[in-house]
Amino acid sequence: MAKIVEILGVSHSPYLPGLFKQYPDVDDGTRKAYENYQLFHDRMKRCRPDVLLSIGSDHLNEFFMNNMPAFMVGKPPHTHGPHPKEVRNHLDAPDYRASVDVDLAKSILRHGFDRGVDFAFSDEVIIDHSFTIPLAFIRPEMDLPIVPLFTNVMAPPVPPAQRFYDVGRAVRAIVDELPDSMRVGVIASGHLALDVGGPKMRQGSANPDWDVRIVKLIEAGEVSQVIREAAWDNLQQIGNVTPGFLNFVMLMGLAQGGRPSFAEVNLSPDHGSTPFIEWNPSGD
Amino acid sequence: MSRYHVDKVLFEVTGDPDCRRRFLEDSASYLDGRELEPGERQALIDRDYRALYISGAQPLMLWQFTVSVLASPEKPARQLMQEYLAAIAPFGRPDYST
Repeated sequence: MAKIVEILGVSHSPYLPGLFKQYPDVDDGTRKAYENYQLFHDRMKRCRPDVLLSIGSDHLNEFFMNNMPAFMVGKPPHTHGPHPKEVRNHLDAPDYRASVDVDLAKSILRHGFDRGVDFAFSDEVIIDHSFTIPLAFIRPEMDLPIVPLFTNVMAPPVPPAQRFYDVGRAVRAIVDELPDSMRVGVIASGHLALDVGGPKMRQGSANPDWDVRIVKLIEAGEVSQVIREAAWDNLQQIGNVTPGFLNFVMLMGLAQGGRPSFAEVNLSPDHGSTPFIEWNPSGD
Repeated sequence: MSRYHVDKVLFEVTGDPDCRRRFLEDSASYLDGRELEPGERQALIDRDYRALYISGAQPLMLWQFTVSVLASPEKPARQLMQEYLAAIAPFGRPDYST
């Protein structure tokens, strides 16, 4: 049977690649974030995944409101990023190229219907920095196929937090029941308190206290409370891109509501807070 | 209100260099034939980010648009941000769903 061997939740702040080049001459939070990415690289490697399910959210680069999927599985044979729009606008995101495990992508699509999730799909899709940054830090070897899973957190109406949780549970059940013996690693990226274009816009976190508190709630396995906190209106008041947090709610579903084995958040004045959350279902 | 069509202009101008060039050269012509309210059309022509914010433009794209059409060596994005924040802060968080 297939199994999910490792589940990691991280940041995709585009300030990180440049700051990490200055390591260790950076602030404490950034230094710790660099070290935590190394740790997560090692932990994913130790779990010997065959494929990576990569969960991220397009920043209105590839998708627009003319055709906006809530949850979408990418299944072109290959994909790459960052998006050309991001490159032209000088966003500092590393290149990433990967083959796509089309069979796994199709399995998620087909069995999604059985589990009440009608995923959209694309046979031609580019991954933006919400995918390339975590992949480049956690799997810089670029030696594994991926399945990109896109979530809409930018263009309301966005699915409610409970739906993110339920879709995470559905994906876990789908993978657990596949007959193949593949080992699936999961990497999701998202936002904590962050405002881009709203009244709390700044380079750092829009609310570091909330960042610390919400990660503690995840650490405690407080699913119901996290889902309540992740209501759209609440996240919007914290910062207009804070709904990127919903991807971590999906991870809680993928982890079947269990407590993470590692949860930390690193604060820095130079970028949004960087969460590092790990569930290790394989025990490796 | 034609919020979607405002967002579409922001999407095009920030994402496509040719669209940006044509918008900067002649904004009025660029906007001809679009389903925009007169106030929205004028706000885009005037680069009036305050009015666009109040009317519910998608904030991430609005900020990218503001940088794309107004940032310059004389007024870098960091300085522009202070003016942008001062202009929009009184208006809280308008609904930007389409």
